[in-house]
Amino acid sequence: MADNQTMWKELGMDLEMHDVLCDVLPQAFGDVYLSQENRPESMDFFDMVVADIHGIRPAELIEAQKNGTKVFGTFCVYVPDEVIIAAKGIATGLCGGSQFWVPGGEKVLPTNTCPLIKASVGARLDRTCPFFRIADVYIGETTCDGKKKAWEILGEDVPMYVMDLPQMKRAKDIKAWEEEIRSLMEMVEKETGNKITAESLKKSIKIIGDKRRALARLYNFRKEENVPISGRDVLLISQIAFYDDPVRFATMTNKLCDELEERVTNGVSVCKQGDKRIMVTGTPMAIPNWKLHQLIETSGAIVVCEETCTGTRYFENFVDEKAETIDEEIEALAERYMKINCACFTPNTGRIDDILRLAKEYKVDGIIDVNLKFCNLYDTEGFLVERAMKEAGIPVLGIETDYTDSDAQQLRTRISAFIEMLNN
Amino acid sequence: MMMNYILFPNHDNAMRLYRELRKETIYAKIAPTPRSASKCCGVSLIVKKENLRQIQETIKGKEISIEKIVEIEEDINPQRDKYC
Amino acid sequence: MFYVGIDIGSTASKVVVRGDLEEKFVVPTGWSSKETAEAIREHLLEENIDVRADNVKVVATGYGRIAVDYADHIITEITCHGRGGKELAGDSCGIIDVGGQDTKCIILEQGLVSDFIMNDKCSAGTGKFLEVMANRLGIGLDELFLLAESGTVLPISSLCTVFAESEIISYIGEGRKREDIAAGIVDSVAEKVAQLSRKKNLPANLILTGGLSENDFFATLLSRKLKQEVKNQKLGKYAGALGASYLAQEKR
Repeated sequence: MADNQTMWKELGMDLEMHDVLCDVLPQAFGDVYLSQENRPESMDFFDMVVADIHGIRPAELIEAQKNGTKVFGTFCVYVPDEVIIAAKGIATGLCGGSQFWVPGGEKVLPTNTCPLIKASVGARLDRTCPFFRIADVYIGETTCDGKKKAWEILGEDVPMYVMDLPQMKRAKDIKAWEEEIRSLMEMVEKETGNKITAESLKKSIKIIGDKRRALARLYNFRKEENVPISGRDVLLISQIAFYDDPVRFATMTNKLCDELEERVTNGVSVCKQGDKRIMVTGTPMAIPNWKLHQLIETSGAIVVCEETCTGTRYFENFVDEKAETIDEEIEALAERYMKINCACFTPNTGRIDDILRLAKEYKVDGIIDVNLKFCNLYDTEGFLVERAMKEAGIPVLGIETDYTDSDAQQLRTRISAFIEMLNN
Repeated sequence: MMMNYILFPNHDNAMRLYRELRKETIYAKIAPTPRSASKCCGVSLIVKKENLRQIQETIKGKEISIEKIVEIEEDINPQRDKYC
Repeated sequence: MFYVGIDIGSTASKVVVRGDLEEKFVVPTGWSSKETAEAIREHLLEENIDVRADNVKVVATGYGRIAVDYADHIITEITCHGRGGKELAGDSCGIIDVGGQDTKCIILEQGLVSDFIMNDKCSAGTGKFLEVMANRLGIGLDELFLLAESGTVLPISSLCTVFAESEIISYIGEGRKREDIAAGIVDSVAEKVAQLSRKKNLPANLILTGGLSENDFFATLLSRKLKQEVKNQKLGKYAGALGASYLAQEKR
């Protein structure tokens, strides 16, 4: 696939450094994915996407750009893809999930910044990720202090637009978010040269709705007694959801779901009888961060749900598709997005309600509450989450980690001990 | 463990062969190309040595372009804890 | 039958044998957990206990547990310490274990682990910290504690072992008394251990296990900080291995 090298060169990437990343992916993918037995056949599409993660989709984006399409890079589940698609733009997730990019970020950011931000900034400044090269405009948001300041640094290198996310959920805050969506529309219209109409927005709301429904359908299978798909596989799918074409993604996910439906009928399970059902709550896992899931699923348990931005927070709740006028649509968008329960809000009791509900729905035996190191918000909220779970009689293990491998052994001990405790 | 990788000029050919092999129920797994085989993170297929002759025939019969077939010393270890 | 519990810690490996022979011994964990496991196997063979024989059940635990390739079961140190704690302190207790690399607090309810917490990657509040600092003062661990008992605590504010070490270097440079520096070092470890333990609902029945469990001074210090009695155990360092030997007997 020599054309990848040419494409990366044309994107102005640092090929030598990028090679280092290409070097580690095959082994990690082999250990995490090829080691699994009895994976659904329809994972083949997602395997293909990740196997050529910096080839296939970037080439499509570049092709689209040649035809005048604008690509918008996003970092958060609050940024409404619907608006971008309604203006015939393409939205692509840009969150960095690899330690590979972290040192690049640390050149300009304090060490005690969360690895997701460091990796995202590093991927741009070190020119080692095609997606970060391709995006015409980055859309940031004000979900945490680390990000707010990082946007200012990134903004010196790439066009940066920031949405101001309210931090409370009063009626006036939802109204304010509606205004922010309107401003985003203006920016996107200007960049793309395409007007957003009630009709185009209706269409894009349906497209993203279909994608969310596909993910919801996928997650539903994990509620089964016999779990037909591993947590690692679902995590990979969720990660790919952020940058694949939404229509194709929904089609491929639904195809996989058809296979899972058959598995459920035949009682096929990917785990052993007695494996403990774990829900992961907390901070997101951007691609290719598979560490925690791998540790859990090789220690006698299976991950059946993620209450994270790369999990339920991404797809739960739908935009009201009955909205007709553009004003109704924008209001419906604001309402849906403000239902996401992120730790950047105060108070955020809705998140605890979510976790309690999900624990029941997915019949979880225990919760692993994970915090990306230096994410102050989720770390602090962890206290409230853990207390509420304990009160509800749900065992919970709090873990703080980053993208490095150095704590893997210690994490293995803790996770194994937690699972041994659940087995008692 | 020696693993056999088939490398392709692009992912379309990789997926075409993959589907053919699945149809014939011949073992094949989609994987990123090891860098020692090619300086690119493209799609390749891991196949079994004993099926290579049969696979070569499918490649010829279906006019699938491949770059090369390589044998690489590699192991899969789910407890290695080396991530990327 | 022989029930063998092997706890491969980061500095010392502890072995408890129960059943037809009651024995316990410690070997230092060298560079390689594998070699340590092999040394233990040979030691047991001298006692006519063949770890691979049918009448011997082995449970391995501790940081190097994976290296014990002849173990019938591999169980984490949390579960093993919990089981050992049950023998030492009864069905309901809290176990504070200060190890060479990890510090953990385990809560036992009705004889089973109901909750636990472990320190992060960071070595502050572990045996490692004491070792590094004693080295810096050019003394052994025993002497460090002896000095500390007669000293007045010099505050060490850094959370990190590396930074704390430079604080100590400054104290040495300032010509502070060794007793006071030693007291500061021991106090800072006790404070870290207490901080970790306070995050859990501690039961009244609280014991200290691990390498420092024979140390009266440390237990007293910890009791003062937690405002409740922490009983140190003469057999405390064997808690993990003891639990492992019980689990070797109980686990099918």
